[in-house]
Order: sequence, then C-alpha cells, then structure tokens
Amino acid sequence: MSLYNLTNATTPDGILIGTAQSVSVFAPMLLVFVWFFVFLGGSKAQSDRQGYSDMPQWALLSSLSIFLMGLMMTITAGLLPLQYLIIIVGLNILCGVWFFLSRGRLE
Amino acid sequence: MERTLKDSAFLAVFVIAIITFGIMFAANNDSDITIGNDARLTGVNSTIRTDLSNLEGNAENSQSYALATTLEAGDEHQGSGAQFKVGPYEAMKMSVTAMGSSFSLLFGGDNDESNPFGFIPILFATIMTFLIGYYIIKAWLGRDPE
Repeated sequence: MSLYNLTNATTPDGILIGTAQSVSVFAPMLLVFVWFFVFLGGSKAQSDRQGYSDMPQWALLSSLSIFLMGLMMTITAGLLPLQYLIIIVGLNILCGVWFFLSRGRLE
Repeated sequence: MERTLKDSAFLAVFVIAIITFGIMFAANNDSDITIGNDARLTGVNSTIRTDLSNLEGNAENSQSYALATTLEAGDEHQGSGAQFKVGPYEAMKMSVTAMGSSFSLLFGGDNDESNPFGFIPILFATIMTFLIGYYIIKAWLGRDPE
C-alpha cells in the first residue's frame, strides 16, 4: 500500500496536478523554495560582489518571482488554490512597503 | 513629509499594479483561478485607486492655489499654509489600507469570516507543534528521534 495515490505520470498535467492533489503542500512548498532560492542566492551573490546586500530589493524580487509563478499555476485548476495566491499578493505588498521605506532620499 | 508622500504614492501605484496585473493576467489567459474572485483584494484596489485620484486632484488644486497667490508690498503672511498641507492624510491612508490588508491576508482576518486563514500563525503553530513533539520524543526515549 502506497502512502499516497500514485499519479498518472504519462502527461505533464498528470505529473504536476496529480502530485499537487495527492500532496497538497507541493505547490506552496515549491513557491517557498523559489522565494528562498532567489532571496538567499541574490543576497549572497550581491554581498560577495559589493560587500553588502540589499535585502529589501531581493525580498521584493523573490516575491515578484513567486507571484509570476503563482499566476502561471492558476491557469489550470487544481495546482494552486486562490488562498495561496492571495497570500502571495499580501507578501508582495509587505515586501513592497519594506522596499519603498528602505530607499534613501536620493535613490 | 515629501518622503512620506513619495513613498506612499509609489506604494499605492505598486499595489494597484500588482493587483491589476493579476486580474488582467487571469482575464487574458482565461485562468480558472483569479484574484478578481477575492472581494478583499478588489476592494483594496478600488480604495487605493480612489485615494490616489483624490490625492492627485488635491495636489493640483493646491498647486494652482499656490500659483494664483499674489503678494503685494506690505501684505501679511498667510497663517494657514493650506497650500503645503495637502497630501499627507491621503498618502498615509493609502499606506494604511495597503499594509492593513496585507497584514490581515498574512496574519488572518480581523474577526472576518471571509478570511479566517492566517498563514504565518498557522506556520508558526505547525513548527512549534513539531518541535514540541520532537523534544517530547527525545526526552522520553532519551535519544534523537532521527
């Protein structure tokens, strides 16, 4: 007996949507992974090059990347519920507040 | 004050852009799930649009008022300073609308049945529950659960 329903792995839809339906945390965790990948990777690369990292900018950039990914996931039903997309928009707005308040007068 | 105005206006435009982009993306691609179905976000969008439009109108009025002001020799200065007072209220209102909505989206609705799901508290509670279970097993068995 398997721990979860095996998906129909013969089509891309079966792989993605079947996995998301069997393991409901699949889509949000994918987005969390992308968020941290962009945020940590970008911050580290910038701090290696320039000696400092612009955290608000990378937070906003990573939020925008998961927003675009999330929008693409909503084209087909079953991959990402509306609730998660709304949370992503909230995260974008908060990171936007952080970004705009972190800018100096002349930036 | 100029900083507050600038940041709030940028933030308002950003919020409008994000929400409108999401809605139009769904409309163009005939998505099954769209932000337009969420009353809260569409409400925030229209509120901020109205506030931004009010701010624009008030700023124009204030500027034309300031430009039309004439000073003759021997005039008293204007005590009210009305032409410099436009904006902050609307600007702060836009920021408060945007931040309030995103806080309730992430931390759960404020006694609102339409949005009972608080992402961050649930995440925190999940991690705490996991840690408590982890340490109970660790103390009970006297070794790492791994």
